[in-house]
Amino acid sequence: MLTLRVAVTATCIGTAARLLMYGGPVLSWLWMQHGWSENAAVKLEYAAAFGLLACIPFVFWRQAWPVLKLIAAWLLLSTFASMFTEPWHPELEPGAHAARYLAPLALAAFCAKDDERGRKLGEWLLRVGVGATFIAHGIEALLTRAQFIDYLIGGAWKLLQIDLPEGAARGILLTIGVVDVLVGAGVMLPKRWRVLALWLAFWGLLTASVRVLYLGWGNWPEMLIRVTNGAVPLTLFFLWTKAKHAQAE
Amino acid sequence: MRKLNNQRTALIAAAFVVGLAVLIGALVAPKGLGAADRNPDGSYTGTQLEGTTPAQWRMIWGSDPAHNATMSWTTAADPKSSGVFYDTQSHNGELAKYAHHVDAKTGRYSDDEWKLWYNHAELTGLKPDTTYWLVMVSDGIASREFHFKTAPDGDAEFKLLYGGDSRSDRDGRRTMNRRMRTLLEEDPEILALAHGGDYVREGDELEDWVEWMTDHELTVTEDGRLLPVIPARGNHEASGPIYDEIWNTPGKKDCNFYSTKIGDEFLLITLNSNISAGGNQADFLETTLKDNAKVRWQCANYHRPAYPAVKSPGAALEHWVPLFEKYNLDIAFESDGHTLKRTCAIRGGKPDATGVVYIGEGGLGVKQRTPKPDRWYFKNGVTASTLHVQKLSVKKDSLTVESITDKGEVYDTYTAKPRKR
Repeated sequence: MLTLRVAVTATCIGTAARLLMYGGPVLSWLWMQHGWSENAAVKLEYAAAFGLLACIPFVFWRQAWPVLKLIAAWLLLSTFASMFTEPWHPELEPGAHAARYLAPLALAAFCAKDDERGRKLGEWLLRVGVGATFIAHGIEALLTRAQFIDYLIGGAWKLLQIDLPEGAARGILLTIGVVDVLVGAGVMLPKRWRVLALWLAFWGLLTASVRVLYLGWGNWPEMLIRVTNGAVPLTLFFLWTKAKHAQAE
Repeated sequence: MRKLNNQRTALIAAAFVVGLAVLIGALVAPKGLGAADRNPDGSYTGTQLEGTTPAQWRMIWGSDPAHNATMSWTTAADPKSSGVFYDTQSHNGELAKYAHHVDAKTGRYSDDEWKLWYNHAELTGLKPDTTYWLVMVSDGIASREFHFKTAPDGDAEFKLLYGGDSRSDRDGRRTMNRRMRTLLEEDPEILALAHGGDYVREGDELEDWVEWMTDHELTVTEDGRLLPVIPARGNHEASGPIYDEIWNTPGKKDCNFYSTKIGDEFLLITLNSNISAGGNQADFLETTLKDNAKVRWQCANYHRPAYPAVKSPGAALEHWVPLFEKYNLDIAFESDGHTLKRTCAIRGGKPDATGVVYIGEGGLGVKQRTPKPDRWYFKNGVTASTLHVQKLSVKKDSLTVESITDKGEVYDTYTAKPRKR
């Protein structure tokens, strides 16, 4: 559970930093579309940022699990707001962010009931979260999201000094999209494929770190926010390994 | 310790700490936000969309505005014939007297709900630096007479407007359109508007564009002078087809990046921050900058900023800024942030007098945010939360950019001197 607690902490820090540094979708949504004053909307986001940071110690305190629901509530609200502010395929937002807002809920399930029911609920929340995230990102890749093409071109140059042509980047992106959709669907099947969980963890952490590799360390909040994309499948890997050992005994 | 471990204690402690933090957050949030002025007039007038009456007129400039321009308009019915009559002298709408006529290509806008048709008449073989009078005609129904001036050739002096983000606040947009009309009336040297994108909130909804195009009529002067638009695609235009139907596909389809040469010594490169910045577009940018290395004034226009006043940087920072610096671009015009900004000159990620200046952030009507003036690149720069448009005065010995508010006040002036090229 430590992996999951660290990941939720990272998400809290990343989200809070983003709110304080750049503002988030809730501000845009309430201010631009619902007639809130900018002042009130910024106050709400600042309050949420400080609130998220204050939640961090309680992430590690088992009995304080309801706090995790507060974290999930804000992340869900952000996702909901981004559906109304993100012009590019907003319908994919709930899926793309699923690991982010379901991770604290899964942790709450594990903490609230220390029994088989709690464990099962937590495990399935993690499966759905990471599965939906990979499928949504896979669809974005199949739609050749411009940002992803630039990550590939920029990454190839920075890491390998290869001048990747746009056509090649598009081809690679389509392959990544197909793989993401397949592995995302795979993790939601009632099977415990540990190799799959390891792949998801590797790819999730790699794509999270791309935000920093590509745009420099100044972009660290975006990386932290996405740590759950790799940490959630890593938690699944540990859970399944533990279950396998328990079964063997 | 045992007491601390019970859940009630944990929850009380959590409620206290989180509640206190939320309160502190609300208290330390910056104050004095949301004070942008509005000038609502309540009435949205414009040419009625009726039958084949030409409405929602807009003139579009592309690569060679000294010789070519596109006159576009909307009709509520599918016209059997559409075209433009034009001449270098006014004939007050007497069609038979105009020396030239060109047919328009027509088609239905991609929208299930709204049945409207676009009409694009491509005027070619125009004379530079010349006023043309024109009338749009669809199925025999004519518009009033309009006029516009083509771009000059040679080493000419002229003026342009730049602005972006005219979405989401119709009153603000109409205020800024009236402001641009006033500027055009006061200063006939202004030739065109380079738009930085985000015209509307939902670029795939024709209804939003219908409002935008109707409001754009307000930029036409009392005596019928048109303000040509050099369009860039913003993120709110998404990747749908309506943008190309409105603007007659500027640049190639699915690309929407191109360059505009005004005279021999001014280059404006319009980029599309909605598609990959690093692939073919970066190649185009480098080729264009290399081919025009000796051109005195070089500017770029795109939507998502490399040096934003509010948000995080876009892909331009990684893929375009190194090329801007390599080829010594003068000014990059950026939108998206809903605020007014001018950075210091930047090279290699730090202030450098030989670097590139970034101006804009979008104030053609959208509600203005509070900028973040403490970012390093605003030292010796400017930020403000006010609707605005930039006026560029292109001269042989200077390039001046004035940021003009909705009230007509000059908020900031920046002057560049010619580089050694």
